[in-house]
Amino acid sequence: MPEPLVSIGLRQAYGSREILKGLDFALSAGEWAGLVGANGAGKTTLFKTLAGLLKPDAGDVLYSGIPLLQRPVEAKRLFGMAMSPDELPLVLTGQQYFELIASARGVDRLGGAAEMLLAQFALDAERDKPMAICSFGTMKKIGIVGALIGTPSVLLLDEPFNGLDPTSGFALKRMLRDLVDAQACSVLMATHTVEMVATWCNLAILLIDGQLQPMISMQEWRESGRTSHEFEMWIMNQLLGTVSTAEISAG
Amino acid sequence: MAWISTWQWRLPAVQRGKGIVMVAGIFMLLIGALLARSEQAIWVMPVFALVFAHGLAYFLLRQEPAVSPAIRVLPLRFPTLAISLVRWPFVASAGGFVLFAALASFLGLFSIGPWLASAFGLLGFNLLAAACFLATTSRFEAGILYLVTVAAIATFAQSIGPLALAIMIGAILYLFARARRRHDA
Repeated sequence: MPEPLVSIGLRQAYGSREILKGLDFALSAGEWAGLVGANGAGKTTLFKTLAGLLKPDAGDVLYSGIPLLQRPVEAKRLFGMAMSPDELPLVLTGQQYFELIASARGVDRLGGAAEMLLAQFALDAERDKPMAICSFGTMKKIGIVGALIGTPSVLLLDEPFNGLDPTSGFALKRMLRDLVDAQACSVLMATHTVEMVATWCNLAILLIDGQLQPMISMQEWRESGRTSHEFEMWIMNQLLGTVSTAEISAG
Repeated sequence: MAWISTWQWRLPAVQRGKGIVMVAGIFMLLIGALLARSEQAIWVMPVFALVFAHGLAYFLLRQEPAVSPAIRVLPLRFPTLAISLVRWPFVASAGGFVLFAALASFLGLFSIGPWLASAFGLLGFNLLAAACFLATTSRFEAGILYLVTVAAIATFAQSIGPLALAIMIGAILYLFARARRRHDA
């Protein structure tokens, strides 16, 4: 059974500046990976390349064994990507955007996860307004719900919690956990909240200067008795190389 | 205004009329070709070209959703997308043109008035829709394309109708190819 998401030697450059320097990784079914990196490390470029919005200079992306570059329509049926507010079609209402996605994915209904999250996000009053007049947080929620329509096997979420209120953020965390555990959905999520990765994710992936560091199993980290604070310090050490082992031990 | 904006985005939901659009487009081309051969061509061609131009120009504008990230991550092939995008301008242009052509023929009124009314009525409608669309994406590029295309076609068509038609077809093929490149990039 092929992995839901595989990146093979992904390279991406803007002019002479190389952003992604040959990324190899795979996400198994039922894994929730938190991607952590500094601003400008290449996280958003990676997401755009994984979603087919940018053509890689080299390498390929496979969704359940289907190459994105060669068979884009089939591959795009297998993942959902939360669009950021500036990428959403502002002339549409949230409901129209959902219908557009549902019809493109060939489903009659939004699907259990999307409908449930829609209710938990309390979007009923906002979903019939043009997105142009919606708040940033509402558009963020619409983008996230859109990614869940048809319950794809892979979710690509670039900083999904930015702009979400605490209750909506918690509802999303629980929903993702449920999708990962109950439906073996694979989630790749970029975030700056390291503690969230320590608490909720199965895997941590560090992207430093366009290169991936070895994946860290959060389950093993937690089972070893280490705390989320220690994880945060460890991440800082990786990103900055300035936090000493003594500081980590001191907690 | 809202519905004008929404049908250009709700692409897959309105594909039912695909066949009608294609038939209407071909019918319009035939009518135009027949008119161009007649003695009335000296004034029919500019009007025909203008009506056709604004339909095509609007088609160019409507390719912008094809390059929107929200559309490009969806499992849609570009031809499906493009056909969905062109359906309405073609129906509007062909419908308006044929309606007034039939009316003028029936009444024996080969006067330029009805044709111009048809052309400018549709042009105004498309400008309205375009203005709504331009408020959201690629204002400069879409606006320039639209105005230049309509102005150029209307001007050229005054003296050299077939050449104008060729320019239009060339422009549409070029922009279609460009949109496809950007969609598939």
